[in-house]
Amino acid sequence: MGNVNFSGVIEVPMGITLREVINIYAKGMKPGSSFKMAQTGGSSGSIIPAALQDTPMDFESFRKAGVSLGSGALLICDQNVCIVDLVKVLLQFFRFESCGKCTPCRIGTQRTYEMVERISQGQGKLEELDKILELASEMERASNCGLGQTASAPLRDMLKHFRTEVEAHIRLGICPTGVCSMVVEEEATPA
Amino acid sequence: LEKEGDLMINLKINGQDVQVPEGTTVLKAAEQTGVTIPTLCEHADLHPYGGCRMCVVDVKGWRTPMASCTMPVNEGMEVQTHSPAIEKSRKTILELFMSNYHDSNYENGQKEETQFMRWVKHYGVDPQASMAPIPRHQVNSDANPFVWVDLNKCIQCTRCVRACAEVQGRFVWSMAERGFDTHPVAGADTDMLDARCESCGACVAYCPTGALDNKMSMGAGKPDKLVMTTCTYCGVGCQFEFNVKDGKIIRVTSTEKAPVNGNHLCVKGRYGYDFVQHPDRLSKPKVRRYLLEGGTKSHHTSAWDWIETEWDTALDVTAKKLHSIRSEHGADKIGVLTSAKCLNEENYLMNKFARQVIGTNNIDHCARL
Repeated sequence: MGNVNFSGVIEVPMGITLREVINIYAKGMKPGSSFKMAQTGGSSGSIIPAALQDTPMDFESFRKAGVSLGSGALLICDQNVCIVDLVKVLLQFFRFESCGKCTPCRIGTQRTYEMVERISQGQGKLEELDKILELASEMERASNCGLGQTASAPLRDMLKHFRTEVEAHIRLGICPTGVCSMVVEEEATPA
Repeated sequence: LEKEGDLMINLKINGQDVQVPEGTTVLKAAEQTGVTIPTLCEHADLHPYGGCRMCVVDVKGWRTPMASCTMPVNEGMEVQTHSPAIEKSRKTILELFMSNYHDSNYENGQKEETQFMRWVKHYGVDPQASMAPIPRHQVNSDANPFVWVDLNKCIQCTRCVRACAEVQGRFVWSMAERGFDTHPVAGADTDMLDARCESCGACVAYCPTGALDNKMSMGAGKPDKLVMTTCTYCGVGCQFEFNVKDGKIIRVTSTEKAPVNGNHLCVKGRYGYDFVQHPDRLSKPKVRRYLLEGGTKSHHTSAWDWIETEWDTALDVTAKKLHSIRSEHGADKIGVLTSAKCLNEENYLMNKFARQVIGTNNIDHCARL
């Protein structure tokens, strides 16, 4: 699903590439859309950039590329999707779904969400990117269950593949895709 | 958690061979080798929870570190308790706790160090730099006369919830909301007393951060000394420690050293200590003036005054009176009533005294209802 012509359940052979899935099964990107990134395996899966779209989709190749196949869900995003905004939405989901039992997930999802939100509001700091990575790795190591352990995956991929775009938010104070407001907004409904 | 059984499990902790019975947790096994794994949500009296993640350890062959308080030992397990990565995880966890912790008097030198503060100091977390800038909750948010509630210091370890359920059996506390908003509530988010709290203070005794504290002792500071003593309220014989500062009792703390009750106390033992140093308390015997000096019993003269005297004198007067009543009117004109504040042994002696010394069966006890 995403910015493609066909959204739905499809069955594909193992080892097919993402490019083939988009062009053959999903009937290509929507008019005016070009492929920017995809998220594999649902909210806690990996975000892969266009550069990796020719990686064969099987466990072995994906593991080598540091990508998880997860549930098999695919979210295809075009050039109008901002990585910061996407990660912010994903973290909003995780901090809402966290049960609150263990510390790394309960407080970690909240603190990383706050940092990503600040980036989207033009309040980000470069040194916080390292803090995000550090927190992400501790959440992955020390959380009790899979939710906390994988909540950090989008964060890690954001800084691995799209660091330039994130740094543009911080250094230049602009959102390259024009999605992020870059101003501090009053939250209409506090979560 | 520990099971009965002869099956012994062999494992390695920090390279040292350990043999423990099947069902032992990694945490307990580590204790046997003299290794202290940091814990916050774990307590020996309560069921393991595995929430705080302070006790995580590396287990060879496992994808992620495991909480040692909830993990039973396995044959051939190889555990590292203090690797650099694990220590870093623990520090991060404390920093996360601290980022959601607010105490305007964190280190004023006047307070007793809590378990949480000890680990914060041990791992070199700077409380001033990482503490939450603004409080999220109202301080002293509950009307209970004995328990001070300040959820700004709460780390959601649920020890209060488990203490109330497992030690006292009152089920007052539970956790409400989820994720970042998780916090303990009394009953259906009411006041503790509305939630049928007995004010036993077990939640206070088990709280590792001071989020729950003794209301009467707030600001009392650190004790000069601890005095182990036995509770005088009933015959159970609970023991606890009086915290004494400048000759005054500032609070009661329960201790696992007490053979009868451990950390468990009731509201009277934990909070009913003001009588000990109350000015109205009798500390010496007093006898009516006419009994000491002779003369007649009259409500309207100074002969009726109480005169402070020594134990020997008072006991002599009592013995003389008992003796004269028995010889003039017979032993059954005397009755003996003993008190639940006496020890079992003292009550036994009073029984002997009534039946054998005085010779009457008129003996009763205030608790024999």
